[in-house]
Amino acid sequence: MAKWGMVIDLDKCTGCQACTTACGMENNTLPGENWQDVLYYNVGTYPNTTMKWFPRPCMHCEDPSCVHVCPTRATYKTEDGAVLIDWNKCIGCKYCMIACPYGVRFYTDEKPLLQPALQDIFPSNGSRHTWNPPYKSPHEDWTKGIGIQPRGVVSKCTFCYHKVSRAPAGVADLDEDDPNTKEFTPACVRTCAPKARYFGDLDNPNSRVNKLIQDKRGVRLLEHTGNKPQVYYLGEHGTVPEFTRPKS
Amino acid sequence: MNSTATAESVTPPAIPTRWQRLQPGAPVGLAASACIRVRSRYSRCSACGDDCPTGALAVEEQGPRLGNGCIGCGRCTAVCPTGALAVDGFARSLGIPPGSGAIAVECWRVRDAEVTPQALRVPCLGGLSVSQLLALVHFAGGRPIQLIERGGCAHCPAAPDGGCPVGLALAESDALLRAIGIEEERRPQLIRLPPSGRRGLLREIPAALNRRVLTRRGFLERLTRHSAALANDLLEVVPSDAEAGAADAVEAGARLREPARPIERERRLALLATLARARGNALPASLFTQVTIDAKRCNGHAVCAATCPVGALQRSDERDTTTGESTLAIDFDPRRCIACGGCEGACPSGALTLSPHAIDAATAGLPRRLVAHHHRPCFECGREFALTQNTSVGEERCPACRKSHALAAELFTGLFR
Repeated sequence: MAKWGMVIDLDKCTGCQACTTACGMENNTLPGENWQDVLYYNVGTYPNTTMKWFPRPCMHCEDPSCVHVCPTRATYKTEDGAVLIDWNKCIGCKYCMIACPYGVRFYTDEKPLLQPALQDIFPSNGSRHTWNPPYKSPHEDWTKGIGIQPRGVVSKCTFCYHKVSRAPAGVADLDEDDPNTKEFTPACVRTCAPKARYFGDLDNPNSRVNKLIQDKRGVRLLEHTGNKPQVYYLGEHGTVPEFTRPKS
Repeated sequence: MNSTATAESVTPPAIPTRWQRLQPGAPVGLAASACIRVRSRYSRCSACGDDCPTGALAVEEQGPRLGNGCIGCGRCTAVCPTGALAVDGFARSLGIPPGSGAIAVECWRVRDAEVTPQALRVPCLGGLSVSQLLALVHFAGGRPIQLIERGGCAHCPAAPDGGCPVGLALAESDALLRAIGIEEERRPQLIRLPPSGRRGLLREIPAALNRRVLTRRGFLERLTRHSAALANDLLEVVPSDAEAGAADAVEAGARLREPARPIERERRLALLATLARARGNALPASLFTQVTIDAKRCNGHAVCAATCPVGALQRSDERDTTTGESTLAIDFDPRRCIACGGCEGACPSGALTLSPHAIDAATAGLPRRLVAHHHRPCFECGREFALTQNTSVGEERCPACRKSHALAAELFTGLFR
């Protein structure tokens, strides 16, 4: 059984948000529910300011705090390393959103921030769905949190589980350039123009993701929380411009 | 890792929609979506397992599980606060036999030929709940109530301590009835009688299928006809769709989002209130729990209200139309609270405390507001967030935006400096 993981090379990432868009199209997410987002920050004080960014998907932690707190056990860790939500069991209490240190969970019934709201333009036709978009994912599966989100639940990045779970057994990497694995590669990885993202089996010593983590000293965010993310970030020392804390 | 089959196998099992027998052919059925243990991992309820005399029923992390050795005594149903368990042979409401003499209740181990005439029959007296005893008192209209033990409890597996297993429920109902001023002769009494025939009692509680089965519909028909036959053999089996055990996952989810009914508590309070009103007495404060929220520690996440299995804690969002200010409040209804302790465990900030008995008798049973927070729109994302006493003065960002900032700071100042 594979243990899927992702590597994001911040030196290559141009912050183009293609991953965010691809994710939204693949998973029918509403504006504001960016399962995958690129966060921008202006750092420094005028005139010495820089813009910094980093992509933030769900970290699919090895020891996820969201799974530990879920009162109804709706969120769970699969054998192949993904953290999923069973929308049939989720009661929308948002405890997981409080527990997640990475802020990558979204409540589907939040008040829309953009007007006109897409929910009003494509209203759901009587079902529990939040909306009725023109394109619908053909892989809808509420037990895994895949498809158009129903009302009153929490949703999150699934590592495109409807794709990766169909990958051939024993494959080390899911690469958009390999015709054999192209279809099984997560949407954000497949669309990344500068190829800043890699996706593969963390348990396979020969996988490209493992080599990258070793060779380029991949790091995980917020190690002190003990969540052990399965998403690693790469960045050469010194190539990222100096970050200075804003004076308070 | 290939096919869909593998993908399917990783999904945890769905919660059954309706009644499901805990084991094929076992006399116990569970309505999982009403079981507060299944509903919330923060619930400490293990009433059914604690009361099982044979240890066949154990409450595990995922809810009750039935092993071997269930004798169908019904003690688990009697203690379940939300009516999530049903045992063959127990009706939720017992009928009152016609006549004017004492009302006798006898167990199934007593042979039909040797039972007190007109006696109410249940598989085991231990399966009588407090609310059922109160109902007997209420509907008996002053007739004495005799729970009859014929010396069989000494070697009965339903009574490991040798006494009649109705003892605990009897003591509890007795205390409640005394507190509201019901005279001793009207309170149910445990009467010890010798077995009337030479053959003695049956060795064990007979299986429900061996007795005449009265369905739920039949029971209701008899109720409506006020039939004299109502008295005997009131049977309610585990509802028949239990065998199918169909798990409609979507419907089960809908049930999880609705609060379960604290059936035992509702009945108890309704009966006690009627009995107490007739005597001009108030309900004792010991009936009500007390929940308090420390406003200094509460962060306004409202997880307590979202996870309360019986809807005793409710979240209310209010908007002042003149000022445009919105408020988040947590309201508490002590009449619904079953003291499962789920709220205490679920509060992410540890701000909530539950004590089993209210202190102030005057306000004990009254719904009240526990805490209220104002909202403020987030400077960055525009979403409203609760402005609690924990929020530092001048804080303009919502917790989600603060979280993102912390990540950025870690990445750019700690890891890639």
